[in-house]
Amino acid sequence: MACARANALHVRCPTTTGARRASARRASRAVRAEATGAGEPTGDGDAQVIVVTSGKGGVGKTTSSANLGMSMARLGYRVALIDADIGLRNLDLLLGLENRVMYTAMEVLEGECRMEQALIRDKRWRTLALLPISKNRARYNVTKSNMSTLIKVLKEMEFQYIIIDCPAGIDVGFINAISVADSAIIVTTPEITAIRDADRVAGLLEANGIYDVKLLVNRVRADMIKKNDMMSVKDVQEMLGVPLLGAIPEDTEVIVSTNRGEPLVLKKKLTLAGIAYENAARRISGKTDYLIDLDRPKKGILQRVGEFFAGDDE
Amino acid sequence: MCARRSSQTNGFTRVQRQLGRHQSRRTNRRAGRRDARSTPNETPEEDPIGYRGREVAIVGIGTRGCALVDALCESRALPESASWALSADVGSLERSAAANRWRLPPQTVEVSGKVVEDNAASAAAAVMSGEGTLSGTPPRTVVVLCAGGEALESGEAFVREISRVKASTAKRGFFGFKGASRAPEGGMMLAGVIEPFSFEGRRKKTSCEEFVRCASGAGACDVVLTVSQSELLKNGEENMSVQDATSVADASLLFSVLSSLDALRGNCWNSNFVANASDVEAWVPQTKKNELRAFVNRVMSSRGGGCGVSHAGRGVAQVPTYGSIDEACASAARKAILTAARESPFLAPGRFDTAHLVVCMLKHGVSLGPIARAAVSQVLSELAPEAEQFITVADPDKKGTTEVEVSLLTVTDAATAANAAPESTNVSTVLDEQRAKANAMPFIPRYDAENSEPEIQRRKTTKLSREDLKTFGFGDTKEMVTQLEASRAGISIESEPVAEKSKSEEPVVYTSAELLGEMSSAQTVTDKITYQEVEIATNAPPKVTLPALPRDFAVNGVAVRISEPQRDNAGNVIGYKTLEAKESDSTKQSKKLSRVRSLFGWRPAKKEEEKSNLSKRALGMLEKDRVGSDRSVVRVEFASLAVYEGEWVNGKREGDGRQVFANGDWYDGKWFGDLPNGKGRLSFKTGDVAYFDGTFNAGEVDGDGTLVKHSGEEITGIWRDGALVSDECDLPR
Repeated sequence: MACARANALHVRCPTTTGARRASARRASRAVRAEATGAGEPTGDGDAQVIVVTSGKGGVGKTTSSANLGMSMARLGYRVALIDADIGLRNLDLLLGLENRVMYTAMEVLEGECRMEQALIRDKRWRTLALLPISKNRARYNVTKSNMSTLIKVLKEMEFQYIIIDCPAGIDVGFINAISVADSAIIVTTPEITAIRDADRVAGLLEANGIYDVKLLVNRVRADMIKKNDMMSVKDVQEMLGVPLLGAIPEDTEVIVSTNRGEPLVLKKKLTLAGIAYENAARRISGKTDYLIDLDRPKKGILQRVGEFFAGDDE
Repeated sequence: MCARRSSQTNGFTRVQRQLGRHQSRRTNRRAGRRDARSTPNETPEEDPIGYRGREVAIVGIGTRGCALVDALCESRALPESASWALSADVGSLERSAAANRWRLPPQTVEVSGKVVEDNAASAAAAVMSGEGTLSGTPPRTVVVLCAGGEALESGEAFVREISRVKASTAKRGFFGFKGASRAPEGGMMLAGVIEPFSFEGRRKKTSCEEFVRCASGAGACDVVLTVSQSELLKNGEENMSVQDATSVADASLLFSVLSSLDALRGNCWNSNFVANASDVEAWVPQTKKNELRAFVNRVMSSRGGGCGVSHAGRGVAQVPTYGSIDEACASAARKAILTAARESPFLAPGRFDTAHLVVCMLKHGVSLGPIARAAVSQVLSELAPEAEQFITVADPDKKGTTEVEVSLLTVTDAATAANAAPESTNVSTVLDEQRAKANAMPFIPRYDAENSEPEIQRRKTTKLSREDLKTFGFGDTKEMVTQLEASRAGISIESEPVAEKSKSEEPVVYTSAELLGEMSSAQTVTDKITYQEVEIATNAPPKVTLPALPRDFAVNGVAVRISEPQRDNAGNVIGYKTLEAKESDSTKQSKKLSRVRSLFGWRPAKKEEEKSNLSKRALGMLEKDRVGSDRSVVRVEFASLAVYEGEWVNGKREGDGRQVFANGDWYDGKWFGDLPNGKGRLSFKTGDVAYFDGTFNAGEVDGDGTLVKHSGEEITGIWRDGALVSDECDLPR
């Protein structure tokens, strides 16, 4: 995938050895994944399965899944969103589809209904479908083989992207969710707690053979970074050594859209967070790379002239 | 042993005596030199061998080589040398008495690419780092012992690496330009090779020839001594068994090596350099290593270079009492050389015909005069008219021995040595005697741990009560023991009345605990003289203590070499690769250009912004988290000769690891902060305690633990400061 290479190239070597090692390892694996990847999914049963995970709860996994899924549907891809957060599912609420959940994947697996019945097609964008795995308050009895059966069926239905919203933690739900994934998006916030969990999750993903991992830094506040009250996106990315997919600014609109059941990216006038999600979705699809270099902003002509005389620091 | 001397007996049979003399001479020297040794200004340049083998590294390659090193270790002929056992066989390494062991890659397994070379390079670096030597300095002389048949691949690589390492540390010629000389550089290297029997097959023979060719090649060894077992078997009579031949060959090789070392010993090099055999005036005093090399190079360069292959013989002759001292010495030297030449199984006349160089090493009681020197030259030229001569005369022994001892080496090039099959000589009569003596030699029996244990156990001492002294008198302890045994057997002994002594005169006798027990049961003899009771140490309940911990137990060692285990597919360690210090990122960054070129010249670059405190904290947290999974397992060798194998974090021993200490004890357990910390087992190599299984805290015994003795006795409790403080454990066990 082109985006993997692009992101891999943006990995800088942090100063400390541990981070450097981890970064170099992960970057090299990202490049390897890129080399073996088949490029953009055509939909003929080779859907790309992406798991959105974080380790820590409350960093915005579900929000990101909903918005990325919706953005990709808007880009014209056939996208299936799976809510793997069994017992505590919320994705249907974010998409405003909670009233349409009749069957879940559990019923499909038990043979009580067909997959078409369990899949909820979004009426706003018909290319987006939601598959809740179980009803709320259900007991947990999904296995890895169940997950792979579901993915197999979804792939046969010619979805191009299957995005799995992973539950928080690194328990059996997490293991089940990542067991079927080809690549992963780690969502984190510039907080030390989220970073620690993200690092652990990155290690676990690697241990489970998922090398195509990208980082989405959520709830970034530029003003706090300026005042040195928050870690910069660059620092977070360097620490974790994972290629950056995007940075989503903190946005009060997120709460509003969640409460209304309307993803940010569907707004007529997109907020900053919405734009960031759209850009991230484009990067996932690999169509165009809008990744703004956070460290090296574009140089204006005056700056270039200045550098011509005064010398370039790079 | 030295008392029995005969003028005619030859040879290798005298190795036992030779070794005895090595020791006796050393004890004499030690007495005389004790003061000199305490002063630091020893002259290192003058002494390439070192006192008592101080700067010698003895390396045995393969099972046979290890056995030879063991024999040398146990004979204590070179007590201060560094002994190394290199073998692919774990069993022979474990049994080895050598202080340092190194596992070679197994020959039965197909190992990938450069493993053999890497392993040999690491081994050579280890030997040349001087870990095993007492002084800690790199050895000036390396002795490689092996059976040629089993030392082909690894042995060759090792010899190559050693010569490379010592050449790299040596001074080069004119600005590094060495000219045409292909002589070895750096310290001396001797190789002792045992050639295989003829029935061992062509493969071993070829392998041995290859090894000898490599070792005697240009730039490798200084002396290559070979001992042919098949010649021994052939030249001996039908009674000679293979086992006999093997032991005689071992003894011969060791003797040759020891005498060569003696001749090379710096303070013995009052030797003389013969340019022309007839010219007595050409004897030059103080021959140095480089002169020897130049000479050998000159002789051998037209015959393929290298140092050639040597065969050794030995002869001894009594100095006659008639004539002047010089004449007597001449006669004795002549006789000794002829004895060596005629009666040694390895110096058949054929050897002298093919020899390019004859090296004669004389040891004697008085210094050689001009007549004796001329006689030596003459007899050598009679023996080998074609060959060049090299004669060394060892330091006159202060004892003034009345015999002349000669070690004779014939040096031929490797190709000739391999082809020439010397004719049988009249050695069969001598061989019987040789064989008997070789079997009785001190270093042929294997190390027997069971027999050596009691001596160590007997170290425990107990004070005798005055009653006991009164009973058995103040004689020597042997007498007391015999009296005790007699009294136990029911024989009453009338001891002589003991004269009363003042308190200050009373001796304190220490003897073993068992003895004391026997004594107390035997207190039935006369007690006419009353003594006041003194404190008897054994009345108090015995305090259970741990044996002394290894000296370097709680010491943050200085790591000499860190290597990484190399594993094969099955996960077995097949070698170690030395880790090189990598340039860290921070140093790389500091090297980054700090100036920027502009149109107006150089200007200082803008400083990179430092990371915020938040980032630093997060990074520190992540580093700590990641350490758990990133612990590397390494092998670390310390300057104290201890070897650690286990987890290694930030240059310190941390986690699970096993360390073998310099005295042979080993600790297997948890480490923290470079010290034993946590649960672990300390096993003792000597003494009656097998191991201590317990809790350690910063290198000290602290907490629950169990002491297990060889007898099976177990003592469990709480231990502190090396002693049992309570019988009850803190934790359920």
